[in-house]
Amino acid sequence: MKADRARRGPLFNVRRRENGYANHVLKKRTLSSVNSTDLSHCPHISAAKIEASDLDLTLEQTVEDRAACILTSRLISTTQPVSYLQIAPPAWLHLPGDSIKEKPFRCGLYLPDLFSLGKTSRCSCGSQRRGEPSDVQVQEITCFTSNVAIIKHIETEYCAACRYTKGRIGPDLGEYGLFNWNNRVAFSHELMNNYTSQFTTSSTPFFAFHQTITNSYVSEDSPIPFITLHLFLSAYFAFRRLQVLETKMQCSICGENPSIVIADGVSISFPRHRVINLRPPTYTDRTKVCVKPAGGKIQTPFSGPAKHRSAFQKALEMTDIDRSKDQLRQLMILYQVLLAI
Amino acid sequence: MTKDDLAKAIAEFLNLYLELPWNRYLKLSNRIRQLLRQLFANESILQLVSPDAIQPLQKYSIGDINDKLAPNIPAFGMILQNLNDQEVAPRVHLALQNLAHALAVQSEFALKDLLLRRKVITDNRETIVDEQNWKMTGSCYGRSMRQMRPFYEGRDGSRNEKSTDDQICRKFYDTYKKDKLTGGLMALWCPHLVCLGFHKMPRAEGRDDVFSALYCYFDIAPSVVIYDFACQLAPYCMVREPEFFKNTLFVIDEMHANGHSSCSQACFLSNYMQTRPDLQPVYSSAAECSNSGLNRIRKSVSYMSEVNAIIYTHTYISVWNRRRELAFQRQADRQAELTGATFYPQQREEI
Repeated sequence: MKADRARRGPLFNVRRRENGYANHVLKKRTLSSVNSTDLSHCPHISAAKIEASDLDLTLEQTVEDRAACILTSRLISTTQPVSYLQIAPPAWLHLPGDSIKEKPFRCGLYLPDLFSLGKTSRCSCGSQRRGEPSDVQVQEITCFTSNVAIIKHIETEYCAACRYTKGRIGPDLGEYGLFNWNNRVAFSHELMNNYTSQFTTSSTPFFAFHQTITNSYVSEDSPIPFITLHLFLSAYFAFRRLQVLETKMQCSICGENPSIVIADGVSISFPRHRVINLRPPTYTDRTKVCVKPAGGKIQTPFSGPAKHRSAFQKALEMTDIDRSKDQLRQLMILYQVLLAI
Repeated sequence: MTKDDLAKAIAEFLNLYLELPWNRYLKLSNRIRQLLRQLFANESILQLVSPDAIQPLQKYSIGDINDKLAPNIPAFGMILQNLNDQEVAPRVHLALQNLAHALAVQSEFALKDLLLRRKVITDNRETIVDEQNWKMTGSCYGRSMRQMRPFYEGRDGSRNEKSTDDQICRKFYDTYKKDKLTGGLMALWCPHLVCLGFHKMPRAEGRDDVFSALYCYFDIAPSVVIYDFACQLAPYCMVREPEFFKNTLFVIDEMHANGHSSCSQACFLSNYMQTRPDLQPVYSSAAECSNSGLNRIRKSVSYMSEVNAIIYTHTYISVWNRRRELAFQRQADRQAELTGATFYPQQREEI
């Protein structure tokens, strides 16, 4: 086992750390490929040979530098899910204008036993099927729902274009109400929508929701425990990137250019050290657009000195009208010259 | 007509107030006092006399009471309303007409000054952010950026940012004073509780955030902007983009008005509600209500990375907007049921 790990290099550990449970499943499945003695048919070696011939080495770049670059590009943290097609908003948020509509999942009762490859199948690296299918395998896929994990089978195909040598092309599964994470693990849309519903209705952090689902799995005696919190979090955000929840940010009553706008700030903030690309509309570039507005102070109706204005204001604010008027009369005498009477 | 003429008109009006027996003309006296407080307020003349009010004021100064006078300057409207069948009416009218004329001239001068003295130094405008990039930029207004915010020479920059010279109102924002977190979220809402857009603020909220959001994303400036710091937002916007904001009224919502003790009635929405029936049903605390809902995600967002925080917030707001739209449709369906109208849901326009 240790030898296997050493032969596969640091990537194996990275993948385990990043994908938690999913890699535990994957690890078991790929051992047969690694232990195989017949190397002539190994798709990994043939893919590596093709890639080596395409290496664009410049004079300044050594083979080691290029290898390091490729290795970095293989990091699992940047890997996308296998699902890539747009996901419909949940039925409870469906609006008449939505182009796609979510089908009911019905606890996965009507899921087929085998998810077959199709025209929309894709690898997590983004490459789609090319030509005739090759090296099609049938493997298990665990579908995590709100109550229980369901084990099904899925057809996958070796991805020659994928730099990550374990990359496999798999079906999107969107039509079954599933979100294909990595051909080994899938999540039901209703699970993800369930969390959306929870946190938008009441304050529900990821941990609380994860704990609730984990408990539900124990109660339902699920064959596989619920996924790790870290993986659920990654999957949720990947799912949300695909789900079309956007609106036109318009009120159907007020229209495109509302006549009344209410502005307010709220302290929904994240750690400042994590700011990377934030670019609010307050961003300016004086080399692009620069304007010199009218200078000077604001013009007030009463043009006298500020302390005089303030004295009048205080006198007018007095609750005792008689005292207020006396005060104003005194001020009027004092400032007669100023007021040019 | 100069500033001195306006000062003279104000003084005459003040004399009138002092000579008016308040026991006999209590309501009228109170209304005149309110106008005087606005005249002596430390606010721009354009807050009291908006560009829309100049013409009605000029007409009134020659004796023609225009329908637009009271909605645009409620203080004048309320005095005129309490002036019917009063013995002092001719005298008040005379003082008020002089004041109206002086105010109209002075506010027109102030507006022209802002418009004419504004100079464009560099103008290589480009659309820097498109709608699809909100996941990166944190600015989502459901539409493309109209234009980027210009740099205002002499106004923007580090020197003026901390300056409080032109900042009369000292309202404080304690909740944002968390050094380790970003400034929060600026959201624009319509009175029907629909979010019109939001952006993540790297630093604490300020007038610039509202100004930039409106200027960069809206084709036409809204006619009314309700903001809890509107007393300072109005001069901020008018100085920078007078042409764009000249027909906009900036007011403080009813809930926050109490905190603005040094601001005049000209900044309060409640003041305009007296003479503008269209503003009476406006739910001015819509943003507060919606933002209190946003507090549900405050804890979760405070531990997130930038991208996740943007997506998480966007999810919440999208769900909120969809729920609002569904509520409108349910309401319409109920009304249709009551009136016996036929509905074709598939013909409803996409929001």
